Amino acid sequence: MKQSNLREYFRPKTLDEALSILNSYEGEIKIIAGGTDMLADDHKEIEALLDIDQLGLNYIEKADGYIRIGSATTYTEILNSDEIYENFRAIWDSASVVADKSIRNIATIGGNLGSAVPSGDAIPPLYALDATLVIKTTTEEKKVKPEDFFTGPRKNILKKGEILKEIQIPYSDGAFGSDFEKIARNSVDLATANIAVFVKIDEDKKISDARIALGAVAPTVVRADKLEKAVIGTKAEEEKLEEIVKAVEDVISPISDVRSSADYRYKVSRVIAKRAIMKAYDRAIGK
Amino acid sequence: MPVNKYDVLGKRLDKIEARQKATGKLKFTGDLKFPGMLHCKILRSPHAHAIVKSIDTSEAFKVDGVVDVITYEDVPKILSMHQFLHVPEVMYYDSYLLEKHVRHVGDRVAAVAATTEEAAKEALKKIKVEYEILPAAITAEDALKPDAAQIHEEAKRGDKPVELKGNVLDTCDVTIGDVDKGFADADYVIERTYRTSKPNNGQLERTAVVCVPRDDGRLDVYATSQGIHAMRMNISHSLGIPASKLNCHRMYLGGTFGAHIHTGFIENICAFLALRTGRPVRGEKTREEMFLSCGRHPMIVKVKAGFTKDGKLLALHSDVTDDTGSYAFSGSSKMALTAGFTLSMYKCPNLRITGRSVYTNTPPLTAMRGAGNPQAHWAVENMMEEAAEDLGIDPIELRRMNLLQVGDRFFGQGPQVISTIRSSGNDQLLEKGKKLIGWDEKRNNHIPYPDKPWIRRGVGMARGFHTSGCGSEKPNAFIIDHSCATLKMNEDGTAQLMNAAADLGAGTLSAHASLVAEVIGLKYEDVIVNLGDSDSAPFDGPTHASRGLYGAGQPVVKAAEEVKQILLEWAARMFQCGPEDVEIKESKVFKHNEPENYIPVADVVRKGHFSGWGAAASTASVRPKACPPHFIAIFVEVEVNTLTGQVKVVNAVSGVDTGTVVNLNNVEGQMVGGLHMGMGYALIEDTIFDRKTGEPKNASFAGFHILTVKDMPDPDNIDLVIADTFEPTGPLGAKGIGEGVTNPVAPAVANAIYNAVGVRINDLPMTQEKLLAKIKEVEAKMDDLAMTQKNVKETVRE
Ligand SMILES: Cc1cc2nc3c(=O)[nH]c(=O)nc-3n(C[C@H](O)[C@H](O)[C@H](O)COP(=O)(O)OP(=O)(O)OC[C@H]3O[C@@H](n4cnc5c(N)ncnc54)[C@H](O)[C@@H]3O)c2cc1C
Repeated sequence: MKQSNLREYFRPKTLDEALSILNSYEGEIKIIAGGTDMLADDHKEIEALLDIDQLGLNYIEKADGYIRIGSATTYTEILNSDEIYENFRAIWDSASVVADKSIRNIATIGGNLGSAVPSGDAIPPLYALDATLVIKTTTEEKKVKPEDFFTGPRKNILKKGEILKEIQIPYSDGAFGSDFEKIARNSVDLATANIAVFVKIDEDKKISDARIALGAVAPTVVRADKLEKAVIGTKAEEEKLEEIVKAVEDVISPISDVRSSADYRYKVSRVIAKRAIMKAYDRAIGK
Repeated sequence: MPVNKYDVLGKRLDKIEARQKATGKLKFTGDLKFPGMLHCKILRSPHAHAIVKSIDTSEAFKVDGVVDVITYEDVPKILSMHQFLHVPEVMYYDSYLLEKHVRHVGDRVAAVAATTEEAAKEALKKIKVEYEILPAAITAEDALKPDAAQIHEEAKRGDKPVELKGNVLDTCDVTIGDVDKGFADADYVIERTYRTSKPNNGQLERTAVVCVPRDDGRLDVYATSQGIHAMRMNISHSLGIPASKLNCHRMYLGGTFGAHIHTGFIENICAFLALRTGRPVRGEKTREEMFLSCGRHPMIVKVKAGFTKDGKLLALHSDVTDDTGSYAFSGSSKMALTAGFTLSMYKCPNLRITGRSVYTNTPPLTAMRGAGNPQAHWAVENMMEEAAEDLGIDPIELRRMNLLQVGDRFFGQGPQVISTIRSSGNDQLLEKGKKLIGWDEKRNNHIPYPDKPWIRRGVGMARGFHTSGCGSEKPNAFIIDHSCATLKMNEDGTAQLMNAAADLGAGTLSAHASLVAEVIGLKYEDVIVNLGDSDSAPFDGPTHASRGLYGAGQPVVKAAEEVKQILLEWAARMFQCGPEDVEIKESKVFKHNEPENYIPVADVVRKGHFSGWGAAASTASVRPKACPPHFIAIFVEVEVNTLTGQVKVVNAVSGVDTGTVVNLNNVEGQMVGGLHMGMGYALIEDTIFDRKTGEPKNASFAGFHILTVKDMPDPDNIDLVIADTFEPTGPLGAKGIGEGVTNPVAPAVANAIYNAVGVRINDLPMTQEKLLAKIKEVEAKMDDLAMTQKNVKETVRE
């Protein structure tokens, strides 16, 4: 959509240049990546846009003990990465169900975090996989956890003059698996509810560690800590899960909107919790 | 596929405009620009029901670029209607170009014409309006309450004032046979209430118009319209100017599904502004404005049906409550059609329809693919399935034994439009569909994945029809159905067709070109169809009721036959033989059995024209004398997730009885498109308005979703069946197809869901949420039963 008060468009070549423009521009300036959220509405307040597509922020790189995903990496680039498919499956799964192919070709993972909508599909996997977000300012590189990054629906801690540079996710050792599940009205809709689950198992094939995060059912993505504790020591047996997934209800506070009623969100959150735990577990045991 | 005895028909041919569209060269209405063109924007009411107490436009006039600002005070005091399908006597005149009494969120309060769209928008913000807010009635039930606010104070039907008591604009009560006796004689009576939703037409191209003043004092109108003559009548009436003052141009359309069967005010407003300012005026609705100006009528359909114990239908009574929105764009015809169409589904001696059409404080609704018939199918085809189960008869068999047959009387647009069935592919469609979907194997086999018992499969079907046009044996006093065409030969051997039927994107004009080529014996590429305008094209009704090929094609065939006769006469003179001795094929004329010794058609035309033999041209005019049903049978297989209520259609068979296939690509396009649209109606599509304030909740494609290609069955899992039939009244045996292909889809999905999980949702759409709630309800009952009967739990398991 047309940005009715847009006067300037910057397309810097380096991160430093970008930061300096962001800091020195006097009026309202906003970052644009793929633009698939940005251009969906007319942001009347915005006078300038800073396009980050030339900054080289689209990369997926192995570092020491973790992977670095540049904030301007598109979903298609994520889907083309074997490294992500094998080690961070929940991210790969979520990328595979975002919108449709034409959107996935331009939309970025950083844009999803920038928009910070509670249903953002890229977000729960970052909680579940223990990601760290790297924010660049002119003076420093800050590292924050997703829990501290999102502050409400469409709100995050990013200030003017800050760019989300990359996402770092630690590799796990031993046997582990992750999964992402989404309920929506059709194939291109935003999530009615979504979830990401990561589990590790011990030698007895019992869950020894779990991280579970639900989206679209609270003002921000929420961790289901009680449920995480409850699955530890189990083998994700369906009958047991049936009971213990009820614990998601303690942390979610869904609303009713055109996509769904709160009641439906309560019901399906349990269903996808069970499904995602079982799938993550199956992947951990190599099934 | 039927055996093909034709040279052109039945093949896969590119639409004549396909290349222009694919390369972006074709100009749609919204692409047109004229020097000095102004842009029109409409100030829309934020309230569902209000009176404009005062309105001040002085500040708006001061905005740079603003040329004109109008309110209800400036527009003609002429009560108007917005379509011209029906004869004027049955149409409802209930609106002005701009209103003082606004009746829905998005209703028209004022209009601005400015040199840029931005200036026009800016000016809208500067108009000061004081509203007196009135209580609103958002649903038909609320509007029918005795204390509901009166939405209209005046309306005319034809030129007679309508006495409006409350919000009912019309009622109907028609009986054929003796319904009471029919029910008394019945062994089994079923009574159900079904509700339908309010999907938006959702076509790609938004309503657009450009009105351009001409040097001769008249106005050229370029618009997204389903009928240039209907539009000309609408605009001339609402502006109080003679029809000949307007020249409406035929444009290619980017889909309409009924959204452009009426003028949605903006056309008339731009015409008015163009006449006032003397400058071209362009208007284009935003997507939100599309959501606030069209959609399918939601209905409450009560059906009561009586059967003998062997399954013979003895009596049927349908009662319809029709919500027409804030203006009766369709008059009361949707009430009459939904009710009437229920009578056309099966053979039944005793019939009754009752109904009421009701104004509500929601956007005006229109025809949308099927014009009341998807609603009729939803009720009847759900009911038939329930009846079949109760009677212990196979649902396909129950339908088969009650089918209307060749020779039977058929109500094409309710009981007012009567024709006789001359062709039927019903038996072929039922037999083939049943086989292709795997009916017998699958009806009792619900667990496709033993490790995922919560996913259940089911198969279901529904059948039905839509009329092909609105022709009746005797001229009727309900709907206009008449078409003309002029055809002339050019000196290079090409034929040029001039007619007025709109091509909504379905390939209607290409089909007309095919008819001309087939009849005369020309190559398909040798036929040109002029877009033309109402100045040059003879009269035609708009393209609706699946009549673009069946109805508008008839004079095309007639004109082509006449032109062919001229060419044969001339060729005979050239060959020095009789006209019966020559034939035309692939644009060449030759004596029978001597194809190598040919004369190009071009030479024949040149000889004729240059020798003063006359002009190879003809104008034909036809009133179709029938409206043959194109029969449809839809079979689907679904997977229902009993934990989430999600439904996936995994296999589908669309079967059509469309008579002669004119262009196979276009027929298949309609079949798959119709399936898609029907599935969306079944599962997700609905526009939602706040029950108190009337505010739209999802007036955008972000909120209102249609299904995507990924929600469709895999292409390999869609079977398309075309019955081998020939319609004697049709152009070269063809019938319609565009609407029938959607009508039975939703109940077919419903019946498959029922087969899978034993749950029925009677109100559309069958959202995952409604389904899950119903599944849980049934499960709870099952659990109770399971105390005594432990295997019941198998049926619907969490
Ligand atoms: C048809 C359609 C379907 C969609 N379906 C889905 C879906 O299924 N699931 C889903 O989650 N989303 C969906 N979306 C939303 C959208 O595509 C995603 O949120 C996407 O990830 C946004 O990325 P982008 O690069 O386009 O962001 P942009 O629109 O460019 O930016 C979004 C916001 O993030 C900020 N931003 C971007 N990059 C940075 C950065 N590096 N540092 C700081 N701020 C930044 C921008 O300033 C802006 O506020 C859909 C959108 C459309 C149009």
